[in-house]
Amino acid sequence: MSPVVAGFPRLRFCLLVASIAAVSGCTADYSMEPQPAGPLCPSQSAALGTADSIIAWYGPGQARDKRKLGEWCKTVGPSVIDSLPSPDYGNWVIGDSLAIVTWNVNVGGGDLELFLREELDLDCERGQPTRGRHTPHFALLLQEARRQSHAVPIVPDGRNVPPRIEPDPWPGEHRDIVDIARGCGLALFYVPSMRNGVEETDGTREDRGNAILSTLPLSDFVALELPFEGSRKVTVAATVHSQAGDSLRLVNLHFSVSSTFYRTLTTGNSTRLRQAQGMVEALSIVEAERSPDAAPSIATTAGGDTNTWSDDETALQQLRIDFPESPPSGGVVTRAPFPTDHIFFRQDAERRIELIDGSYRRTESTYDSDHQARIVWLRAVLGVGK
Amino acid sequence: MWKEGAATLCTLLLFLTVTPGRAQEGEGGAWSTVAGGALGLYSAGMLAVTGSLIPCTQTLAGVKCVRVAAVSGSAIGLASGIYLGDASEQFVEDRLRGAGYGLLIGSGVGLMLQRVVPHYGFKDIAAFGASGAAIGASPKGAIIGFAAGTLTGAVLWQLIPTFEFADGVGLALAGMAIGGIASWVIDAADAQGSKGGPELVLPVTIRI
Repeated sequence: MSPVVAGFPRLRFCLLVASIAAVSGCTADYSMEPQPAGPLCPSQSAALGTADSIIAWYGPGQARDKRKLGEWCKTVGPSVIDSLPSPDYGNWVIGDSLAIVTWNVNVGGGDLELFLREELDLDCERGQPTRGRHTPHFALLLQEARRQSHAVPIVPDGRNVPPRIEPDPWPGEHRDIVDIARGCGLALFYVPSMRNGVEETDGTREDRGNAILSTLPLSDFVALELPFEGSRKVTVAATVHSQAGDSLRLVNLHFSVSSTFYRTLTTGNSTRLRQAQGMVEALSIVEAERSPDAAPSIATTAGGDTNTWSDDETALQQLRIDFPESPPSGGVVTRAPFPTDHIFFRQDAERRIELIDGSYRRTESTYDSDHQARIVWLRAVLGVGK
Repeated sequence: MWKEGAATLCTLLLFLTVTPGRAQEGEGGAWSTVAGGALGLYSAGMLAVTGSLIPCTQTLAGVKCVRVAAVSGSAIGLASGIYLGDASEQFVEDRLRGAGYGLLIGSGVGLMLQRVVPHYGFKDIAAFGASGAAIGASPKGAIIGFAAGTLTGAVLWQLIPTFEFADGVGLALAGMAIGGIASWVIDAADAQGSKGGPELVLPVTIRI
Protein backbone atom coordinates (compact mmCIF):
# COMPACT_ATOMS: atom_id res chain seq x y z
CA MET A 1 0.00 0.00 0.00
CA SER A 2 1.41 3.40 -0.87
CA PRO A 3 2.19 5.69 2.02
CA VAL A 4 -0.46 8.22 1.04
CA VAL A 5 -3.26 5.71 0.79
CA ALA A 6 -2.13 3.87 3.85
CA GLY A 7 -2.21 7.12 5.79
CA PHE A 8 -5.98 7.44 5.51
CA PRO A 9 -7.59 4.22 6.74
CA ARG A 10 -10.22 6.10 8.72
CA LEU A 11 -10.93 8.37 5.80
CA ARG A 12 -11.62 5.43 3.53
CA PHE A 13 -13.86 3.86 6.11
CA CYS A 14 -15.73 7.12 6.68
CA LEU A 15 -16.26 7.63 2.95
CA LEU A 16 -17.59 4.09 2.66
CA VAL A 17 -19.95 4.52 5.61
CA ALA A 18 -21.13 7.85 4.23
CA SER A 19 -21.88 6.32 0.84
CA ILE A 20 -23.81 3.42 2.32
CA ALA A 21 -25.75 5.77 4.59
CA ALA A 22 -26.56 8.07 1.71
CA VAL A 23 -27.78 5.25 -0.47
CA SER A 24 -29.76 3.52 2.24
CA GLY A 25 -31.33 6.86 3.03
CA CYS A 26 -32.79 6.93 -0.47
CA THR A 27 -36.10 5.46 0.53
CA ALA A 28 -39.63 6.70 0.40
CA ASP A 29 -41.61 5.10 3.15
CA TYR A 30 -45.34 5.32 3.33
CA SER A 31 -48.08 3.94 5.52
CA MET A 32 -51.73 4.31 4.79
CA GLU A 33 -54.31 5.10 7.42
CA PRO A 34 -57.99 6.04 7.66
CA GLN A 35 -58.68 9.77 7.49
CA PRO A 36 -61.09 11.52 9.84
CA ALA A 37 -64.74 11.06 8.97
CA GLY A 38 -66.46 13.87 7.11
CA PRO A 39 -65.40 16.21 4.33
CA LEU A 40 -61.68 15.99 3.72
CA CYS A 41 -60.96 19.35 2.13
CA PRO A 42 -62.19 22.80 3.12
CA SER A 43 -64.03 23.19 -0.20
CA GLN A 44 -65.98 20.03 0.54
CA SER A 45 -67.51 21.47 3.69
CA ALA A 46 -69.91 23.40 1.48
CA ALA A 47 -73.50 22.26 1.25
CA LEU A 48 -72.83 20.55 -2.06
CA GLY A 49 -70.13 18.46 -0.43
CA THR A 50 -72.46 16.15 1.45
CA ALA A 51 -71.26 13.21 -0.67
CA ASP A 52 -67.86 13.52 0.92
CA SER A 53 -69.23 12.83 4.37
CA ILE A 54 -70.39 9.34 3.36
CA ILE A 55 -67.11 8.44 1.69
CA ALA A 56 -64.58 6.48 3.73
CA TRP A 57 -61.28 8.28 3.15
CA TYR A 58 -57.82 6.75 3.47
CA GLY A 59 -54.45 8.34 2.87
CA PRO A 60 -50.78 8.29 3.69
CA GLY A 61 -49.74 9.01 7.25
CA GLN A 62 -46.52 10.89 6.47
CA ALA A 63 -46.46 14.61 7.22
CA ARG A 64 -45.03 15.53 3.79
CA ASP A 65 -47.77 13.65 1.95
CA LYS A 66 -50.49 15.08 4.15
CA ARG A 67 -49.29 18.64 3.68
CA LYS A 68 -48.98 18.36 -0.10
CA LEU A 69 -52.28 16.52 -0.52
CA GLY A 70 -54.04 19.06 1.70
CA GLU A 71 -52.74 21.96 -0.40
CA TRP A 72 -53.97 20.37 -3.64
CA CYS A 73 -57.25 19.30 -2.09
CA LYS A 74 -58.15 22.91 -1.33
CA THR A 75 -58.39 23.69 -5.03
CA VAL A 76 -61.00 21.08 -6.04
CA GLY A 77 -64.74 20.88 -5.64
CA PRO A 78 -66.84 18.32 -3.80
CA SER A 79 -67.27 14.70 -4.80
CA VAL A 80 -70.44 13.52 -6.53
CA ILE A 81 -72.44 10.42 -5.71
CA ASP A 82 -75.51 9.27 -7.62
CA SER A 83 -75.78 5.81 -6.17
CA LEU A 84 -78.81 4.57 -8.11
CA PRO A 85 -78.96 4.08 -11.87
CA SER A 86 -82.13 4.16 -13.91
CA PRO A 87 -84.34 1.20 -12.87
CA ASP A 88 -84.58 0.25 -16.54
CA TYR A 89 -81.18 -1.39 -16.31
CA GLY A 90 -82.53 -4.09 -13.98
CA ASN A 91 -80.59 -6.52 -11.81
CA TRP A 92 -77.41 -8.45 -12.33
CA VAL A 93 -78.57 -12.04 -12.24
CA ILE A 94 -76.53 -15.24 -11.99
CA GLY A 95 -75.03 -16.14 -15.32
CA ASP A 96 -75.17 -12.56 -16.62
CA SER A 97 -71.91 -11.09 -17.69
CA LEU A 98 -70.68 -7.72 -16.52
CA ALA A 99 -68.32 -5.62 -18.63
CA ILE A 100 -65.56 -3.78 -16.80
CA VAL A 101 -64.05 -0.95 -18.78
CA THR A 102 -61.05 1.18 -17.95
CA TRP A 103 -60.42 4.27 -20.01
CA ASN A 104 -58.51 7.50 -19.61
CA VAL A 105 -60.84 10.02 -21.26
CA ASN A 106 -58.26 12.81 -21.51
CA VAL A 107 -60.20 15.45 -19.57
CA GLY A 108 -63.33 15.18 -21.66
CA GLY A 109 -61.51 14.65 -24.97
CA GLY A 110 -62.69 11.06 -25.26
CA ASP A 111 -66.16 10.87 -26.79
CA LEU A 112 -67.85 8.88 -24.06
CA GLU A 113 -71.30 8.87 -25.65
CA LEU A 114 -69.90 7.48 -28.92
CA PHE A 115 -67.95 4.92 -26.90
CA LEU A 116 -71.11 3.77 -25.13
CA ARG A 117 -72.96 3.42 -28.40
CA GLU A 118 -70.22 1.60 -30.27
CA GLU A 119 -68.79 -0.62 -27.54
CA LEU A 120 -71.74 -1.21 -25.20
CA ASP A 121 -74.77 -0.67 -27.43
CA LEU A 122 -76.17 2.15 -25.29
CA ASP A 123 -77.37 5.32 -26.99
CA CYS A 124 -77.52 8.36 -24.70
CA GLU A 125 -77.29 11.04 -27.34
CA ARG A 126 -81.00 11.66 -27.82
CA GLY A 127 -81.62 12.89 -24.28
CA GLN A 128 -82.99 9.55 -23.14
CA PRO A 129 -80.87 6.40 -22.78
CA THR A 130 -81.85 3.80 -25.35
CA ARG A 131 -80.64 0.28 -24.75
CA GLY A 132 -79.84 -1.92 -27.67
CA ARG A 133 -80.51 -5.65 -27.87
CA HIS A 134 -77.03 -6.38 -26.63
CA THR A 135 -76.56 -3.77 -23.93
CA PRO A 136 -74.92 -5.60 -21.04
CA HIS A 137 -74.48 -4.54 -17.47
CA PHE A 138 -71.27 -2.60 -17.24
CA ALA A 139 -69.07 -0.50 -15.01
CA LEU A 140 -66.85 2.20 -16.45
CA LEU A 141 -63.67 3.11 -14.60
CA LEU A 142 -62.77 6.49 -16.08
CA GLN A 143 -59.65 8.49 -15.39
CA GLU A 144 -59.18 12.19 -16.13
CA ALA A 145 -62.92 12.68 -16.07
CA ARG A 146 -63.79 16.38 -16.33
CA ARG A 147 -66.32 18.08 -14.05
CA GLN A 148 -67.51 21.64 -14.55
CA SER A 149 -69.18 23.31 -11.59
CA HIS A 150 -69.70 26.51 -9.63
CA ALA A 151 -68.83 24.42 -6.56
CA VAL A 152 -65.23 24.23 -7.69
CA PRO A 153 -63.72 26.99 -5.55
CA ILE A 154 -62.13 30.19 -6.77
CA VAL A 155 -58.41 30.08 -6.04
CA PRO A 156 -56.20 33.14 -5.69
CA ASP A 157 -53.36 31.89 -7.87
CA GLY A 158 -51.90 28.93 -9.72
CA ARG A 159 -50.15 27.34 -6.78
CA ASN A 160 -50.97 23.64 -6.51
CA VAL A 161 -53.03 23.88 -9.68
CA PRO A 162 -51.87 22.01 -12.79
CA PRO A 163 -52.22 23.70 -16.17
CA ARG A 164 -55.54 23.31 -17.88
CA ILE A 165 -55.81 20.39 -20.30
CA GLU A 166 -58.05 21.14 -23.23
CA PRO A 167 -58.21 18.45 -25.90
CA ASP A 168 -57.28 19.55 -29.40
CA PRO A 169 -59.27 18.90 -31.51
CA TRP A 170 -62.30 18.71 -29.28
CA PRO A 171 -65.46 17.86 -31.21
CA GLY A 172 -68.88 17.44 -29.63
CA GLU A 173 -70.82 19.28 -26.97
CA HIS A 174 -68.22 19.19 -24.20
CA ARG A 175 -70.59 17.77 -21.60
CA ASP A 176 -68.97 17.04 -18.29
CA ILE A 177 -68.96 13.68 -16.56
CA VAL A 178 -71.91 14.46 -14.29
CA ASP A 179 -74.09 15.53 -17.23
CA ILE A 180 -73.22 12.45 -19.24
CA ALA A 181 -73.82 10.04 -16.37
CA ARG A 182 -77.17 11.59 -15.55
CA GLY A 183 -78.14 11.76 -19.22
CA CYS A 184 -77.44 8.04 -19.53
CA GLY A 185 -79.19 7.16 -16.26
CA LEU A 186 -76.01 5.66 -14.84
CA ALA A 187 -74.94 5.49 -11.21
CA LEU A 188 -71.98 7.78 -10.63
CA PHE A 189 -69.17 8.12 -8.12
CA TYR A 190 -66.82 10.96 -8.97
CA VAL A 191 -63.95 12.22 -6.84
CA PRO A 192 -61.79 15.05 -8.16
CA SER A 193 -58.04 14.65 -7.81
CA MET A 194 -56.93 18.04 -9.04
CA ARG A 195 -58.03 21.25 -10.58
CA ASN A 196 -58.13 21.67 -14.38
CA GLY A 197 -56.44 25.06 -14.61
CA VAL A 198 -57.10 28.22 -12.63
CA GLU A 199 -59.16 29.96 -15.25
CA GLU A 200 -62.93 29.96 -15.60
CA THR A 201 -64.67 28.62 -18.68
CA ASP A 202 -68.24 29.66 -19.44
CA GLY A 203 -68.44 31.25 -16.00
CA THR A 204 -67.62 28.04 -14.15
CA ARG A 205 -64.53 26.22 -13.04
CA GLU A 206 -63.30 22.70 -13.70
CA ASP A 207 -61.61 19.88 -11.87
CA ARG A 208 -60.70 16.37 -12.99
CA GLY A 209 -60.42 12.98 -11.39
CA ASN A 210 -61.61 9.39 -11.32
CA ALA A 211 -65.20 8.39 -11.93
CA ILE A 212 -67.08 5.11 -11.76
CA LEU A 213 -70.22 4.91 -13.89
CA SER A 214 -72.39 1.83 -13.66
CA THR A 215 -75.68 0.29 -14.73
CA LEU A 216 -75.79 -1.28 -11.25
CA PRO A 217 -76.37 0.52 -7.94
CA LEU A 218 -73.17 1.61 -6.21
CA SER A 219 -72.49 1.41 -2.49
CA ASP A 220 -69.65 1.40 0.07
CA PHE A 221 -67.87 4.45 -1.30
CA VAL A 222 -64.14 4.60 -0.62
CA ALA A 223 -61.54 7.18 -1.65
CA LEU A 224 -57.82 6.53 -1.28
CA GLU A 225 -55.49 9.49 -1.52
CA LEU A 226 -52.30 7.98 -2.90
CA PRO A 227 -48.84 8.91 -1.64
CA PHE A 228 -48.00 12.27 -3.19
CA GLU A 229 -45.58 12.24 -6.09
CA GLY A 230 -45.96 14.81 -8.88
CA SER A 231 -49.61 15.58 -8.24
CA ARG A 232 -52.59 14.54 -6.12
CA LYS A 233 -54.11 11.23 -7.19
CA VAL A 234 -57.22 9.73 -5.63
CA THR A 235 -58.17 6.10 -6.23
CA VAL A 236 -61.90 5.55 -5.87
CA ALA A 237 -63.75 2.36 -5.02
CA ALA A 238 -67.38 1.34 -4.84
CA THR A 239 -69.26 -1.93 -4.66
CA VAL A 240 -71.89 -3.51 -6.89
CA HIS A 241 -73.99 -6.57 -6.10
CA SER A 242 -75.61 -9.33 -8.06
CA GLN A 243 -79.27 -10.09 -7.43
CA ALA A 244 -78.15 -13.09 -5.37
CA GLY A 245 -76.08 -10.86 -3.13
CA ASP A 246 -72.60 -11.49 -4.55
CA SER A 247 -70.44 -8.43 -4.21
CA LEU A 248 -67.80 -6.98 -6.45
CA ARG A 249 -65.60 -4.08 -5.43
CA LEU A 250 -64.68 -1.78 -8.30
CA VAL A 251 -61.43 0.11 -7.89
CA ASN A 252 -60.50 2.92 -10.26
CA LEU A 253 -56.86 3.94 -10.10
CA HIS A 254 -54.63 6.49 -11.76
CA PHE A 255 -50.92 6.64 -10.92
CA SER A 256 -48.54 9.51 -11.56
CA VAL A 257 -46.74 9.61 -14.87
CA SER A 258 -43.65 10.99 -13.16
CA SER A 259 -42.48 12.59 -10.00
CA THR A 260 -40.00 15.41 -9.70
CA PHE A 261 -36.46 14.62 -10.83
CA TYR A 262 -35.24 15.07 -7.27
CA ARG A 263 -37.70 12.48 -5.97
CA THR A 264 -37.00 10.14 -8.87
CA LEU A 265 -33.34 10.09 -7.90
CA THR A 266 -33.82 9.92 -4.15
CA THR A 267 -36.55 7.29 -4.17
CA GLY A 268 -35.01 5.00 -6.78
CA ASN A 269 -37.74 5.77 -9.33
CA SER A 270 -40.38 4.25 -7.07
CA THR A 271 -43.13 6.75 -7.97
CA ARG A 272 -45.72 4.27 -9.18
CA LEU A 273 -44.60 1.43 -6.95
CA ARG A 274 -45.16 3.60 -3.90
CA GLN A 275 -48.63 4.51 -5.14
CA ALA A 276 -49.46 0.89 -6.00
CA GLN A 277 -48.31 -0.32 -2.61
CA GLY A 278 -50.19 2.49 -0.89
CA MET A 279 -53.36 1.57 -2.73
CA VAL A 280 -53.04 -2.14 -1.92
CA GLU A 281 -52.32 -1.38 1.72
CA ALA A 282 -55.33 0.92 1.98
CA LEU A 283 -57.55 -1.69 0.34
CA SER A 284 -56.35 -4.27 2.83
CA ILE A 285 -57.29 -1.88 5.67
CA VAL A 286 -60.72 -1.50 4.07
CA GLU A 287 -61.05 -5.29 3.87
CA ALA A 288 -59.96 -5.71 7.48
CA GLU A 289 -62.45 -3.12 8.66
CA ARG A 290 -65.30 -4.72 6.72
CA SER A 291 -64.57 -8.32 7.73
CA PRO A 292 -62.04 -8.35 10.57
CA ASP A 293 -62.13 -12.09 11.21
CA ALA A 294 -62.34 -13.47 7.72
CA ALA A 295 -60.40 -13.83 4.53
CA PRO A 296 -61.25 -11.29 1.83
CA SER A 297 -64.97 -11.70 1.42
CA ILE A 298 -65.41 -9.71 -1.71
CA ALA A 299 -64.12 -10.07 -5.24
CA THR A 300 -62.24 -7.02 -6.42
CA THR A 301 -61.43 -5.68 -9.83
CA ALA A 302 -59.03 -2.77 -10.11
CA GLY A 303 -58.49 -0.96 -13.35
CA GLY A 304 -56.97 2.22 -14.52
CA ASP A 305 -54.16 4.19 -16.02
CA THR A 306 -51.00 3.03 -14.30
CA ASN A 307 -48.84 5.28 -16.51
CA THR A 308 -46.32 2.47 -16.72
CA TRP A 309 -43.55 2.60 -19.28
CA SER A 310 -43.32 -1.13 -19.72
CA ASP A 311 -45.27 -4.27 -19.02
CA ASP A 312 -42.67 -5.47 -16.52
CA GLU A 313 -42.56 -2.43 -14.28
CA THR A 314 -42.22 -3.24 -10.59
CA ALA A 315 -45.58 -1.65 -9.79
CA LEU A 316 -47.35 -3.93 -12.30
CA GLN A 317 -45.53 -7.02 -11.09
CA GLN A 318 -46.52 -6.19 -7.54
CA LEU A 319 -50.17 -5.62 -8.51
CA ARG A 320 -50.27 -8.97 -10.35
CA ILE A 321 -49.16 -10.63 -7.13
CA ASP A 322 -51.81 -8.81 -5.12
CA PHE A 323 -54.48 -9.56 -7.75
CA PRO A 324 -53.57 -13.14 -8.67
CA GLU A 325 -56.50 -13.84 -10.99
CA SER A 326 -55.69 -10.86 -13.22
CA PRO A 327 -56.03 -11.46 -16.94
CA PRO A 328 -52.69 -11.66 -18.82
CA SER A 329 -51.69 -8.21 -19.96
CA GLY A 330 -49.86 -9.33 -23.06
CA GLY A 331 -47.87 -6.12 -23.28
CA VAL A 332 -50.73 -4.41 -25.06
CA VAL A 333 -49.95 -0.78 -25.81
CA THR A 334 -52.79 1.63 -25.05
CA ARG A 335 -50.98 4.93 -25.27
CA ALA A 336 -48.33 4.35 -27.89
CA PRO A 337 -45.69 3.24 -27.28
CA PHE A 338 -46.56 2.58 -23.64
CA PRO A 339 -48.70 -0.16 -22.05
CA THR A 340 -50.35 2.19 -19.57
CA ASP A 341 -53.84 0.81 -18.98
CA HIS A 342 -54.57 -2.40 -17.12
CA ILE A 343 -57.28 -4.35 -15.34
CA PHE A 344 -56.53 -6.55 -12.33
CA PHE A 345 -58.76 -9.06 -10.61
CA ARG A 346 -58.88 -11.17 -7.49
CA GLN A 347 -61.63 -13.52 -6.51
CA ASP A 348 -63.30 -13.73 -3.14
CA ALA A 349 -62.68 -16.77 -0.95
CA GLU A 350 -65.72 -18.63 -2.33
CA ARG A 351 -65.03 -17.70 -5.96
CA ARG A 352 -68.53 -16.43 -6.57
CA ILE A 353 -67.49 -14.14 -9.40
CA GLU A 354 -65.18 -15.25 -12.19
CA LEU A 355 -63.39 -13.68 -15.07
CA ILE A 356 -64.43 -14.90 -18.49
CA ASP A 357 -61.37 -16.41 -20.17
CA GLY A 358 -60.19 -14.67 -23.31
CA SER A 359 -62.47 -11.69 -22.82
CA TYR A 360 -59.77 -9.14 -22.02
CA ARG A 361 -59.24 -6.83 -24.95
CA ARG A 362 -58.35 -3.35 -26.08
CA THR A 363 -60.71 -1.18 -28.08
CA GLU A 364 -59.61 -0.48 -31.63
CA SER A 365 -60.43 3.21 -31.46
CA THR A 366 -59.32 5.88 -29.00
CA TYR A 367 -62.66 7.71 -29.49
CA ASP A 368 -60.71 11.00 -29.58
CA SER A 369 -58.96 10.34 -26.28
CA ASP A 370 -55.20 9.87 -26.09
CA HIS A 371 -55.69 6.36 -24.68
CA GLN A 372 -57.40 3.25 -25.93
CA ALA A 373 -59.74 1.58 -23.48
CA ARG A 374 -59.50 -1.97 -22.13
CA ILE A 375 -62.48 -4.20 -21.46
CA VAL A 376 -62.85 -7.45 -19.56
CA TRP A 377 -65.94 -9.50 -18.80
CA LEU A 378 -66.90 -11.01 -15.46
CA ARG A 379 -69.68 -13.38 -14.54
CA ALA A 380 -71.50 -14.13 -11.30
CA VAL A 381 -71.45 -17.91 -11.01
CA LEU A 382 -72.77 -18.62 -7.52
CA GLY A 383 -75.30 -16.98 -5.28
CA VAL A 384 -74.51 -16.30 -1.64
CA GLY A 385 -75.06 -19.39 0.47
CA LYS A 386 -75.19 -21.75 -2.49
CA MET B 1 -28.78 -3.49 3.99
CA TRP B 2 -26.50 -5.92 5.83
CA LYS B 3 -25.83 -8.04 2.77
CA GLU B 4 -25.35 -4.98 0.59
CA GLY B 5 -22.99 -3.45 3.14
CA ALA B 6 -20.98 -6.65 3.41
CA ALA B 7 -20.76 -6.92 -0.37
CA THR B 8 -19.56 -3.35 -0.60
CA LEU B 9 -16.96 -3.88 2.09
CA CYS B 10 -15.65 -6.98 0.35
CA THR B 11 -15.47 -5.16 -3.00
CA LEU B 12 -13.65 -2.29 -1.39
CA LEU B 13 -11.21 -4.52 0.42
CA LEU B 14 -10.52 -6.40 -2.76
CA PHE B 15 -9.56 -3.16 -4.46
CA LEU B 16 -7.58 -1.70 -1.62
CA THR B 17 -5.62 -4.78 -0.66
CA VAL B 18 -4.15 -5.25 -4.13
CA THR B 19 -0.68 -3.81 -3.76
CA PRO B 20 -0.27 -0.81 -6.01
CA GLY B 21 2.94 0.07 -7.75
CA ARG B 22 5.64 1.98 -5.98
CA ALA B 23 4.69 5.55 -5.24
CA GLN B 24 6.74 8.11 -7.01
CA GLU B 25 7.35 11.44 -5.43
CA GLY B 26 5.30 14.39 -6.69
CA GLU B 27 2.72 12.32 -8.57
CA GLY B 28 0.00 12.18 -6.00
CA GLY B 29 -0.60 13.84 -2.68
CA ALA B 30 -2.86 13.65 0.31
CA TRP B 31 -5.35 16.13 -1.06
CA SER B 32 -5.55 14.43 -4.45
CA THR B 33 -6.10 11.06 -2.80
CA VAL B 34 -8.92 12.42 -0.67
CA ALA B 35 -10.41 14.40 -3.53
CA GLY B 36 -10.08 11.49 -5.93
CA GLY B 37 -11.77 9.12 -3.50
CA ALA B 38 -14.60 11.52 -2.72
CA LEU B 39 -15.19 12.40 -6.36
CA GLY B 40 -15.01 8.77 -7.45
CA LEU B 41 -17.48 7.74 -4.78
CA TYR B 42 -19.86 10.53 -5.72
CA SER B 43 -19.57 10.30 -9.49
CA ALA B 44 -19.75 6.52 -9.81
CA GLY B 45 -22.45 6.28 -7.14
CA MET B 46 -24.61 8.87 -8.85
CA LEU B 47 -24.04 7.29 -12.26
CA ALA B 48 -24.97 3.89 -10.85
CA VAL B 49 -28.21 5.29 -9.41
CA THR B 50 -29.10 7.01 -12.68
CA GLY B 51 -28.18 4.02 -14.80
CA SER B 52 -30.08 1.53 -12.68
CA LEU B 53 -33.32 3.50 -12.32
CA ILE B 54 -35.09 2.08 -15.33
CA PRO B 55 -33.57 -1.41 -15.59
CA CYS B 56 -34.16 -2.03 -11.87
CA THR B 57 -37.76 -0.86 -11.98
CA GLN B 58 -38.43 -3.54 -14.61
CA THR B 59 -37.81 -6.14 -11.92
CA LEU B 60 -39.65 -7.15 -8.79
CA ALA B 61 -36.62 -6.14 -6.74
CA GLY B 62 -37.20 -2.52 -7.75
CA VAL B 63 -35.73 -0.07 -5.25
CA LYS B 64 -33.59 -2.76 -3.58
CA CYS B 65 -31.91 -3.35 -6.92
CA VAL B 66 -31.22 0.40 -7.25
CA ARG B 67 -29.65 0.41 -3.79
CA VAL B 68 -27.37 -2.51 -4.60
CA ALA B 69 -26.28 -0.81 -7.82
CA ALA B 70 -25.67 2.47 -5.99
CA VAL B 71 -23.62 0.88 -3.24
CA SER B 72 -21.58 -1.16 -5.74
CA GLY B 73 -20.99 1.87 -7.97
CA SER B 74 -19.96 4.00 -4.99
CA ALA B 75 -17.54 1.35 -3.77
CA ILE B 76 -15.91 0.97 -7.18
CA GLY B 77 -15.74 4.73 -7.60
CA LEU B 78 -14.26 5.23 -4.15
CA ALA B 79 -11.54 2.66 -4.70
CA SER B 80 -10.76 3.87 -8.23
CA GLY B 81 -10.74 7.50 -7.11
CA ILE B 82 -8.32 6.80 -4.29
CA TYR B 83 -5.98 4.98 -6.64
CA LEU B 84 -6.31 7.71 -9.24
CA GLY B 85 -5.65 10.47 -6.74
CA ASP B 86 -2.76 8.58 -5.28
CA ALA B 87 -1.17 8.25 -8.69
CA SER B 88 -1.76 11.62 -10.27
CA GLU B 89 -2.89 15.04 -9.15
CA GLN B 90 -3.43 16.01 -12.76
CA PHE B 91 -6.05 13.30 -13.32
CA VAL B 92 -8.01 14.46 -10.28
CA GLU B 93 -7.78 18.11 -11.24
CA ASP B 94 -9.10 17.31 -14.72
CA ARG B 95 -11.98 15.35 -13.32
CA LEU B 96 -12.83 18.01 -10.76
CA ARG B 97 -12.86 20.60 -13.51
CA GLY B 98 -15.13 18.35 -15.57
CA ALA B 99 -17.45 17.94 -12.61
CA GLY B 100 -17.63 21.72 -12.28
CA TYR B 101 -18.59 22.13 -15.93
CA GLY B 102 -21.11 19.32 -15.54
CA LEU B 103 -22.59 21.02 -12.51
CA LEU B 104 -23.08 24.24 -14.45
CA ILE B 105 -24.52 22.54 -17.54
CA GLY B 106 -26.79 20.27 -15.47
CA SER B 107 -28.05 23.18 -13.40
CA GLY B 108 -28.72 25.12 -16.59
CA VAL B 109 -30.76 22.24 -18.00
CA GLY B 110 -32.62 21.98 -14.68
CA LEU B 111 -33.34 25.69 -14.71
CA MET B 112 -34.79 25.51 -18.21
CA LEU B 113 -36.94 22.52 -17.32
CA GLN B 114 -38.11 24.15 -14.11
CA ARG B 115 -39.67 26.89 -16.20
CA VAL B 116 -41.74 24.48 -18.28
CA VAL B 117 -42.47 21.55 -15.94
CA PRO B 118 -45.12 22.73 -13.47
CA HIS B 119 -44.13 20.81 -10.36
CA TYR B 120 -40.35 21.21 -10.67
CA GLY B 121 -38.66 23.29 -7.98
CA PHE B 122 -35.20 24.28 -6.83
CA LYS B 123 -34.48 20.79 -5.54
CA ASP B 124 -34.86 19.55 -9.10
CA ILE B 125 -32.45 22.14 -10.44
CA ALA B 126 -29.98 20.98 -7.81
CA ALA B 127 -30.61 17.34 -8.75
CA PHE B 128 -29.92 18.06 -12.42
CA GLY B 129 -26.77 19.89 -11.37
CA ALA B 130 -25.70 16.94 -9.24
CA SER B 131 -26.25 14.53 -12.12
CA GLY B 132 -24.38 16.83 -14.45
CA ALA B 133 -21.44 16.92 -12.06
CA ALA B 134 -21.37 13.12 -11.88
CA ILE B 135 -21.34 12.83 -15.67
CA GLY B 136 -18.86 15.69 -16.03
CA ALA B 137 -16.39 13.91 -13.78
CA SER B 138 -16.12 11.09 -16.33
CA PRO B 139 -17.50 12.53 -19.54
CA LYS B 140 -15.80 10.40 -22.17
CA GLY B 141 -16.83 7.08 -20.70
CA ALA B 142 -20.36 8.29 -19.95
CA ILE B 143 -20.88 9.67 -23.46
CA ILE B 144 -19.43 6.62 -25.21
CA GLY B 145 -21.49 4.33 -22.98
CA PHE B 146 -24.63 6.37 -23.58
CA ALA B 147 -24.13 6.31 -27.33
CA ALA B 148 -23.47 2.57 -27.35
CA GLY B 149 -26.48 1.91 -25.11
CA THR B 150 -28.76 4.11 -27.21
CA LEU B 151 -27.68 2.46 -30.45
CA THR B 152 -28.06 -1.05 -29.05
CA GLY B 153 -31.43 -0.16 -27.53
CA ALA B 154 -32.71 1.32 -30.78
CA VAL B 155 -31.67 -1.74 -32.77
CA LEU B 156 -33.17 -4.18 -30.27
CA TRP B 157 -36.39 -2.15 -30.10
CA GLN B 158 -36.77 -2.51 -33.84
CA LEU B 159 -35.79 -6.17 -34.00
CA ILE B 160 -37.39 -7.77 -30.95
CA PRO B 161 -41.15 -7.32 -30.48
CA THR B 162 -41.02 -7.94 -26.72
CA PHE B 163 -38.24 -5.38 -26.25
CA GLU B 164 -40.13 -2.30 -25.11
CA PHE B 165 -39.37 1.39 -25.47
CA ALA B 166 -38.56 1.59 -21.76
CA ASP B 167 -35.99 -1.18 -22.19
CA GLY B 168 -34.25 0.92 -24.84
CA VAL B 169 -34.18 4.01 -22.63
CA GLY B 170 -32.95 1.88 -19.75
CA LEU B 171 -30.18 0.46 -21.90
CA ALA B 172 -29.03 3.96 -22.87
CA LEU B 173 -28.87 5.11 -19.24
CA ALA B 174 -27.25 1.88 -18.10
CA GLY B 175 -24.69 2.29 -20.87
CA MET B 176 -23.92 5.79 -19.65
CA ALA B 177 -23.42 4.52 -16.11
CA ILE B 178 -21.28 1.56 -17.12
CA GLY B 179 -19.17 3.71 -19.43
CA GLY B 180 -18.67 6.37 -16.76
CA ILE B 181 -17.75 3.90 -14.03
CA ALA B 182 -15.50 1.94 -16.38
CA SER B 183 -13.61 5.12 -17.19
CA TRP B 184 -12.85 5.57 -13.47
CA VAL B 185 -11.50 2.03 -13.24
CA ILE B 186 -9.52 2.25 -16.49
CA ASP B 187 -8.01 5.63 -15.61
CA ALA B 188 -7.07 4.39 -12.15
CA ALA B 189 -5.39 1.33 -13.64
CA ASP B 190 -3.61 3.45 -16.26
CA ALA B 191 -2.43 5.94 -13.67
CA GLN B 192 -1.09 3.28 -11.38
CA GLY B 193 0.50 1.51 -14.34
CA SER B 194 2.26 4.67 -15.44
CA LYS B 195 3.72 5.03 -11.95
CA GLY B 196 5.43 1.70 -12.44
CA GLY B 197 4.33 -1.58 -10.99
CA PRO B 198 6.26 -4.26 -9.17
CA GLU B 199 8.88 -5.78 -11.44
CA LEU B 200 8.78 -9.49 -12.12
CA VAL B 201 12.28 -10.84 -12.82
CA LEU B 202 12.32 -14.11 -14.68
CA PRO B 203 15.56 -16.10 -14.45
CA VAL B 204 16.03 -16.98 -18.07
CA THR B 205 19.26 -18.24 -19.50
CA ILE B 206 19.79 -18.33 -23.20
CA ARG B 207 22.53 -20.58 -24.47
CA ILE B 208 24.00 -20.06 -27.88
